Parts: sequence; C-alpha cells; structure tokens
Amino acid sequence: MQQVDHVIETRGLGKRYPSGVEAVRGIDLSVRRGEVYGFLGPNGAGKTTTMRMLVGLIRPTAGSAAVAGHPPGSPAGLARIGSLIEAPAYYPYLSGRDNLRVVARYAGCDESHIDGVLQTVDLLSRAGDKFGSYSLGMKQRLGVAGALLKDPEVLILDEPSNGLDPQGIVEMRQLLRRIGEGGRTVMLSSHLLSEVEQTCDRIGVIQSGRMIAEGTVDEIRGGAALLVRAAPAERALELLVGDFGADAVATTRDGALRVRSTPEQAAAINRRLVEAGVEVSELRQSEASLEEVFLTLTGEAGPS
Amino acid sequence: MIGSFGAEVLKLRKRVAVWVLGIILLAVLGLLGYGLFYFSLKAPGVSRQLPPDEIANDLIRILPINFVAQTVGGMSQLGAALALILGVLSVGSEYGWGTLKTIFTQRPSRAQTHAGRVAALALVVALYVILAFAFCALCSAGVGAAEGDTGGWPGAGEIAGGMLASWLIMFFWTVFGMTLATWFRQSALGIGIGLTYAFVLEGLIFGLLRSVTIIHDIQKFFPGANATALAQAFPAHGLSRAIRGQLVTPLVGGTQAALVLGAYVVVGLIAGLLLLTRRDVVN
Repeated sequence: MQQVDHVIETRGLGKRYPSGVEAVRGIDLSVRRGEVYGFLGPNGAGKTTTMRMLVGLIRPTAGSAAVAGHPPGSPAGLARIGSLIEAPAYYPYLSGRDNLRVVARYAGCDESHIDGVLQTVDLLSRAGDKFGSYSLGMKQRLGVAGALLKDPEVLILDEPSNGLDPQGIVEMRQLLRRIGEGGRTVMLSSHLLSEVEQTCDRIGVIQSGRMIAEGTVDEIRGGAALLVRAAPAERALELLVGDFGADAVATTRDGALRVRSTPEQAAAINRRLVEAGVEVSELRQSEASLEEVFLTLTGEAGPS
Repeated sequence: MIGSFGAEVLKLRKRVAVWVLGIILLAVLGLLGYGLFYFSLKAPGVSRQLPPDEIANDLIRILPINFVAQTVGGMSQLGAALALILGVLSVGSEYGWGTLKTIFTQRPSRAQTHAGRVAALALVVALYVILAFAFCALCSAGVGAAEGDTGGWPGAGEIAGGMLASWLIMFFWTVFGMTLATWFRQSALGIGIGLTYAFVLEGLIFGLLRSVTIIHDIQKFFPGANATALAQAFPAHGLSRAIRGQLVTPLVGGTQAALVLGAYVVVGLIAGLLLLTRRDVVN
C-alpha cells in the first residue's frame, strides 16, 4: 500500500486559553502533499486558532502538529510556509512594494521576486501606493502576494476571499486554483462554501473546536441520494425511515425528503409510497450541496 | 538576524516618526541649549537681573570647550524622553497594526527578530547621538565666534566618551520603551507610563526628596538617577570656583552609573525577549 505523504498533520491538537476557554479540542487533521484542503466551520468554531497554531503564533496546550515536517513556528518550517492569517497586516506608511521588501528581508528571500508576485495578484500597477490607501480587496491580494513571496511548499490561507467583491472573489478563486495546480499544498479556510466546493480536493469541518468530518467533497456530501416530495410528508417520512433507516433519510429546508439511495431504487420507492396512499409529486436524483451538508453537520439546519 | 536587522532598518528609515523625533531632538538641543539660552543671557536687562559672574559662567557653558557637557546634559533629559518614545513606537505600533503576526510567520525565530530590532534601534540612537553632537558643536562654534572665544575644543577622548555616554543613556530609555510597549501590547500606555516614570517618579518625587537619606541611597539603583550621574561625569570646564561649589554632587561616579545603566539595558532586553517568545500572538 502506498504511504500517503502528509504535509500538515495534527494529533489531538488542542488550545485552552488562560481564561478557561477551550477553543480547539483534540483535532486530528491531515493535509496531503499537493492537495487543496478546505477548512470549514461556523464563526468561533476554532478555525483561526488552529491555523495560528499551525504557523506558530499560538502555542497548543495539547497534542502535536507538524507542518512541512517541522514543528509549527520553527525557522526551518516557517521557511517553507506562506501564510495569511485573518486580515492581512502590513505597515500603512509603506508602499505595497516596500512592505514586500520588508517581508522578503525577514524571510531571507530574493527581493527580485517581488514584482513577480505583485504581477500574480494583479497589483503591480499600484505597488508604489501606500498600504494604508489600499482597498480591502487590494490589501487581501497583497496578503496573498506576501504569502507567495517565499515560493512556499505550503500555503495556509485564512479566509483569503474576506472582504472581496464578487469579481474579486472569482479572481481569488482562479488564483487559488492556479496556485493549487502548481503542486503546492494549500490549506484554506472560507465561509464561501461554493468557493471551497470548486477549489478544494478535500475538506475538514470543525465545530466547537472539534473536527466533525473530513474527506473529499464527494465523501462529505454523502454520495448518491434521491429527493422525494410527497404528501402527507409525515407518512412518507415514516415509510422511508422504516425502509431505509433513520440515518438515511433527512428533511430538507423546503420540506422535501432526501433519501440516501441509488437512482435504481427510484421506481421501488415510488411504488411503495403510492401503494401506501401517499401522493408523490416529485422524485428525482439529488446531490446535496456542500452548503446543505455543512448546515446539517454543524447543526444550523439539521434533519428533522 | 541579518535579515531581521535589514527589515527593521528599512521600516525605521521610511517611518516619518523616526525623522520627526530626530528633528525635534536637534531643534530643542539647539534652541533651548544654545539659541534661547544665549539670547536670555544677552537680552537687554539680563545684566541687571543676574550677577555678572553668573552670566559669565553661563556663557562659558555654551562655548565650544563645553559642548560635550552641554550635549550630554541635554541628551540625558530631552533625549531620554524622545528615546523612550522611539522605543515604544517601534514595538507598540506592531501590536496596533497587527504586524507581529506577519513578521513572526517569516523565517527568523522570535529571538532573532527581537535581536534585529534591538540592533536597528541601537543604530538609530547612534545616528541621533552623532547628529546631536555635530549640531551642538556647530551651535557652540556660533556662540564662540560671536563672543570672540579662543578657548578651543574638548579633546577627542572627551568627545568620544560623551558620545558613548549619550548613546548608553538614550539606548537605555529606548529599551525601556520597547519593554513597556511589549508588556502593554500598545503604544499609548507605554508612552504614558514611561514618561510618568521618568519625569514624575524619578524627576519630581526623587528630586524633591533627595535630601532624605534613604531616598538618596535608593536612588543610586534607579536608572534615571544613574543617567543623570553619567551626564554629570562630563562637567563644564572653566567655571568659577564659586559656581562649581553650587553644583549638585553626582550621586555616583560615571563608571558606576554606566554599569548600572548597562545592567538595566540587559535586564530590559531579556524581559522583552521573554515576553515576546512566551506569549501567543492573538491579534
């Protein structure tokens, strides 16, 4: 069996603040080399705390982590990681280019790369303007440029699309795809589930500091399913739960039933419901969106 | 550390506040220490208010032979405040802008980053001192020319010693400012508490209670008092015996004062390093 090469790996990673708040509780997370990994969770779930621990800004109080083969925050590890944690933080009195010069000097990388990364994020024409005068979107792009400056093996990006307008979000998504295609490992958190769905190979879902799901987008979606709209809905639910089990049937937000089942079983389900006096108005193949699954997993709109 | 030093130098070089502090230092040293002082001695009516001996001695203080004593004295007071602000701003702003997370996620360790910043600030303070000495020498030359002075200049050893002493005094206050800003994770509180400490506790309270034996003895261990003592190790030349008798006796000798200040610098650097390396960066 081929051994999977994990670039980011945590075991039982936890953080309890001195105030007693336990922001992260025993997270096991694995990001494979070359993949784009989406890190999802509601506000306050512990995403940023986890990412801060991965880059060494916060020390864990439990468990362990390794990024690019090194403990978080070690100079050898940091040399191989580019990161953007929460809002990009740069010096407002310096131009975009000078800010990247500062970063390049700290990182010990060649300042000749600066124009290249500014070109990548489409900021070259405004590179001489002060960071303090940048729009939120421009600041975000400079943050990504700063993360790319080291030509890192691993990119850790916390909400890279934050504050961007729709056009900016599309451009950021294209940029992330390009970065991911280049063989780099990318871990990104986002509130934009469609972005994650279109960009990421695998995702992890965190809630209340715990990892509640991890897998490919298809695995997380839960595979094939049929959508049934029938009346009375209660009777239909009772019959389908009896046939498929409670775990396989969920009520969607608009009152339809989602049954984990293959398309071949559609005719049998239709016959079963009709013979029981239930009127079926819609029966079709359903693919749960990542948003639906996310809301179900995090309990923000669960099955009835 | 070289990379961190280079980055810090770039940040400091491009920061307006660093230039403004330097300009204020020169302007006040020149204006208060020479311009207004000279004007106050030469203005009409002064001779009727002050004894001639006192005016003559005050003039002697701002002649070229005494520019080292005059400059070191100014640096131990005004320079201290400006150096404190420089130290606070260099660290406190990083907390305000949230840029610590940017620099701590590059290659160097936090200790190397700290060392780079300290080295860059030491360089800026050295440049302040060089410029201040050059400017005060120029001002004193102007006074000397106006007064037809032929007293000459202090020796190279005295100039070098004065510059080193000034650098140590200002660097101590810079490190003190850095430590305060690191402790409070901001600039405003660091400047407020630092200046209050320097001028109210060490300046006013200790000054008023200096005659109390226990305060006099305790003061020997405080940095501000040692900075003053170090400045007093460069007395003015050519003062009359009567005036010399009125001068306050230094609390400790120059060497002891330098050693105490040096110890405070080391303690401040270690305290700042411990705070930086042990704390989480959460903003």
